[in-house]
Amino acid sequence: MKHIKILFSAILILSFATSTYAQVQFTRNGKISFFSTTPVEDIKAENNEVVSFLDPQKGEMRFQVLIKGFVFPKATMQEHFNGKDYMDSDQFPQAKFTGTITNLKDVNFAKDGAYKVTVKGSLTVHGVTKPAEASGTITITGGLASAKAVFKINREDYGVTVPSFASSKIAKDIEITVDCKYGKYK
Amino acid sequence: MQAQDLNLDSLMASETKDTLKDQKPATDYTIATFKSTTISNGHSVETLHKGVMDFVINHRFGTLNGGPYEWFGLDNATVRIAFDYGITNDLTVGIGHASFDKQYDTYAKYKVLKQSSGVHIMPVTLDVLGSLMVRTTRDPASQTYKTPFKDRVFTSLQVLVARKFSNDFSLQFMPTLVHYNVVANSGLHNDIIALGIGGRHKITKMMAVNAEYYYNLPGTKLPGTNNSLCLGIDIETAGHVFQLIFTNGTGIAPRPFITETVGEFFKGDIHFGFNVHRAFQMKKKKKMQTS
Repeated sequence: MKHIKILFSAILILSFATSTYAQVQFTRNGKISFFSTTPVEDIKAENNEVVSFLDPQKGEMRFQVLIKGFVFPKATMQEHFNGKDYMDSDQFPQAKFTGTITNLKDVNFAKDGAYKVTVKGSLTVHGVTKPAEASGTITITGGLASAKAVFKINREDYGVTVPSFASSKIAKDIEITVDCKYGKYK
Repeated sequence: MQAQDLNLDSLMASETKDTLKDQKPATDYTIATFKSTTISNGHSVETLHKGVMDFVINHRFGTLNGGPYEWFGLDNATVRIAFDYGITNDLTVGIGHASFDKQYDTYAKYKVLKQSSGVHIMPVTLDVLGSLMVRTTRDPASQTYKTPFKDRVFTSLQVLVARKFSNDFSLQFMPTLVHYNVVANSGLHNDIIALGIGGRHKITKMMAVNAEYYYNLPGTKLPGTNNSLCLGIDIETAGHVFQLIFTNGTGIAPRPFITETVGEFFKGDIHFGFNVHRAFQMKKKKKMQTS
């Protein structure tokens, strides 16, 4: 009986020890920026209020971003971006990503280092949900993760077909950069 | 082995449930009622964005009923070159010179009301437009009397009221007053009143058709003149708007095209012409503060 008690405590302690690194991580200030380049114009915008969750145990990730939170260098660009003919952010206020790290076993959340990952899931933009995949890096520092990824989407796949006079200034392929630093979720 | 069953979706829901509540209810201001600052001959309610300069070329050929000898009017042409500038998003000024009567014109257009929906509802966009025109053609050599400068000056005041009914269709009314400092004889009026109506309808993403008609009120109309009618096609490309027009109106500024049109549209006194607008962003915007 005594041995079983010791074994049980040992297992409990061990599971706590590993589970600290398996705790859900979270940020409210993740960064997502996008970039469009055409011979006519380059367009850049940044959102520093991305809400994101990372579950190291299952390798699951969630991102949610408010479209109105994207900041542009030109005010009129930001107005147009949110307008009915573009992102229509009154109707579709958020964009979301739900995904899983496909090579979770390659990542050791307990050990500091940089791990190349592939995240696969679905992306919802402008009310349209499509499968999406991105390669990136998860860097562990002191048990906390930061995630970086760059990937491209075709805005027309999500129904963002802009008015004629703007279509030559806004590329169909938009480059999206994700940069999130996580902390422990309490 | 954690006791709770982690569901990221429910965690996300609880963390973001207040973000939409924080969004202040917004007013949606209508943009792009017309594709450019002119409907065809006359002004539209559109103003240039702050710091934008629009280089405008207006070309009007001779009349189609000139026949093949006159190349259906293409052998004769008048041109106007102008520079328009957006001082603020709601105030546009411009200066131009037309070969017709060697007239210089300058104007200021101010957007008083903006069509909007949402929190603040305004059914129309309303602009006030004031123009100053000076005819600089020399007096004929036979004339001993030198026309003083003030006799060459015309002014006009227009109120432009427009509504964008849908993404495709917009309509505008333009009550107009054109003032002549001097008229040829005492039987004529110095102040001519006209009522303009114009509109545009998109036919494809790049093209729209438009029409514009100015009705001179019979009480003040100059004898021997007709009302000007303009039919046009707008073609939009990156940075440029091309307007192809057919009009019986002579000249381009409010005087003469509103008040001194002599041709009759349905008798073939139709001038083919085009407007080219090329916009340049002159001032870079300051970086937006994060809200």
